[in-house]
Amino acid sequence: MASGKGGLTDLERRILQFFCEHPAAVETVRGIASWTGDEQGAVQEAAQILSKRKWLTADETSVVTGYSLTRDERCLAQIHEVLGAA
Amino acid sequence: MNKMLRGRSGWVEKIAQTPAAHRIQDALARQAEGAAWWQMEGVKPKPQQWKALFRQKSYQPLFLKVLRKSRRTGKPVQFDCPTGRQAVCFPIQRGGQVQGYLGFCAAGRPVPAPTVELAAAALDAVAREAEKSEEIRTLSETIQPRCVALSTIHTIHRLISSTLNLEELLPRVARLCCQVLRADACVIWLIDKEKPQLLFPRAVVNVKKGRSEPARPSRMGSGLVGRVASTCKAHLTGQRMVVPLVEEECIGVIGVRRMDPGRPFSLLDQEILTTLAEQAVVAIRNAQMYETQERVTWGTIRSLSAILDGMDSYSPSTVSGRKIMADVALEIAQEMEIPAAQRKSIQYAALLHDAGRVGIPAEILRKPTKLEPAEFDKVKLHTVRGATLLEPLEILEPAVPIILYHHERFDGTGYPKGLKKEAIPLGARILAVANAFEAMVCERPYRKAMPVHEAAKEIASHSGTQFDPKVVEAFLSVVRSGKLDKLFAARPAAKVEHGIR
Repeated sequence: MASGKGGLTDLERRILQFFCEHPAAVETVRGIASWTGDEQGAVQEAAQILSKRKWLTADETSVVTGYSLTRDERCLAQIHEVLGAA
Repeated sequence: MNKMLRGRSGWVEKIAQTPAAHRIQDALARQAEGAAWWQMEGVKPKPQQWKALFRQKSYQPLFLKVLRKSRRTGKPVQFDCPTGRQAVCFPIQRGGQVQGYLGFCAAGRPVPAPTVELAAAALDAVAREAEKSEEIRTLSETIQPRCVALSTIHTIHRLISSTLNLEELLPRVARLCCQVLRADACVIWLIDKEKPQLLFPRAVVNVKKGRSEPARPSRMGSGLVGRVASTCKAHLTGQRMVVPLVEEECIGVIGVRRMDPGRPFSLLDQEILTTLAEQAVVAIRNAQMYETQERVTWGTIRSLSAILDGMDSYSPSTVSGRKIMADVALEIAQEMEIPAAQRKSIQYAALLHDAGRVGIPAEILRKPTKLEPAEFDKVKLHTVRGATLLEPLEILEPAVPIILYHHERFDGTGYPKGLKKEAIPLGARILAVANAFEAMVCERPYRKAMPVHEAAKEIASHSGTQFDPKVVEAFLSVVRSGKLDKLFAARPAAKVEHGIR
């Protein structure tokens, strides 16, 4: 998928948007997919990329991974900058 | 649209701006040549609005009369402008109440009444549709955050109930509490089993590192944490919130803190933390019970292993070959990044691998010379016998196949079944290497102990025939890392009375 502004795909941007609107949320891939209306495989890939960038925190267990918005202020500033540039 | 009289709600403008309303207005404009459209928010025009609509004050009584009639009947009113041209006023409703008007005046030619009625019905339908869309949007805006919160609680439940490891569970619960409550720090204190009057901080998470004091132990009934634990009552003051972890009795407390004085916790936050604590306490109790069970299991296995050692040992200087084998197998398993549960089974299997030797005559086990074929056949039975002996113990279920097949060879020439390559359980392939290594580095009645590096070389020479090359590679990596030297440095010279050949 082609990257847009801030090096983010449209899906990555929408996932970040969701977490910025609901900063207390902790969601599985299935949950995120149901909120964004996207296919789970694509959401998983996007969430992993965002987690590698440390913009999402991934709580991994053997059965489930929960994603949530980073609490790191520097990362949060980067996210707001990228989303604001849209 | 020529003139607009704005009110507060903007409802008329919203309806007038819809594509459907545009189409209606266009259709009417074609009928009523040169008509000038106007719209008005609210049911009564304000004095400044009159100016915008009419130049002559004399128009006002007529216009007011039209508005009143349209409002009372909820239907369009056709009337003649003071200029003598035709005009129409459509009431625009919302929830059964007239919110304003949309109309035209100075029509070049009259519009038939049925057309006006049809246009009014169409505008009503547009207004109802807009009303429904707005209701759905409002509902969605109200419900979505609640659905997200519900989904979050469900995810957290799954996250914390999917581990039985307390050291993993507690920091996770603390971090999730910080996330959900937007707290800057979270501490979980648990009541000490040995000293039930004390609470120890078992997990500390500081989101804003360096801005929070380290948590200290607390005494029951004393200080905020101790009081919450002893009374089982939650505490909420400004930026600090502490709730008890209560199942049948209090097992600890969770405390959260925000650094910003402008963001105090609310009663809703307290409800959320209480819900999280209720979920956490079940997971913590399960993990504690699992830990206890693990200790009992480990104790049982060590006792069994010690009994087997006792059967072997005739000298106080004898070192348990099983222990050496278990440590080596564990190091290899760690090197191969095998999951913790599987590593544990390998460790159990190593400690009990030769349990089946209890049925082998002592004279065969003690024989310092080479065994006769018939004697060796008896020795070979120990794998099956050991597996059969330990099979009834449910906790050892994953260890039984490792015990059964640890004398299989990678090339299929081993026993008891002559399994080949990956058909041999991975644990058994690891145990085979550890067993051979232990047999070489520990002294036997029939030969001297071999140095570690020589034993490693010997094992490497049988890679791909007797042993799985991947396991050998991991073993050699362990040897190179010096971990085995540390293992042996902690023990006196290894000497084993009777090892299975």
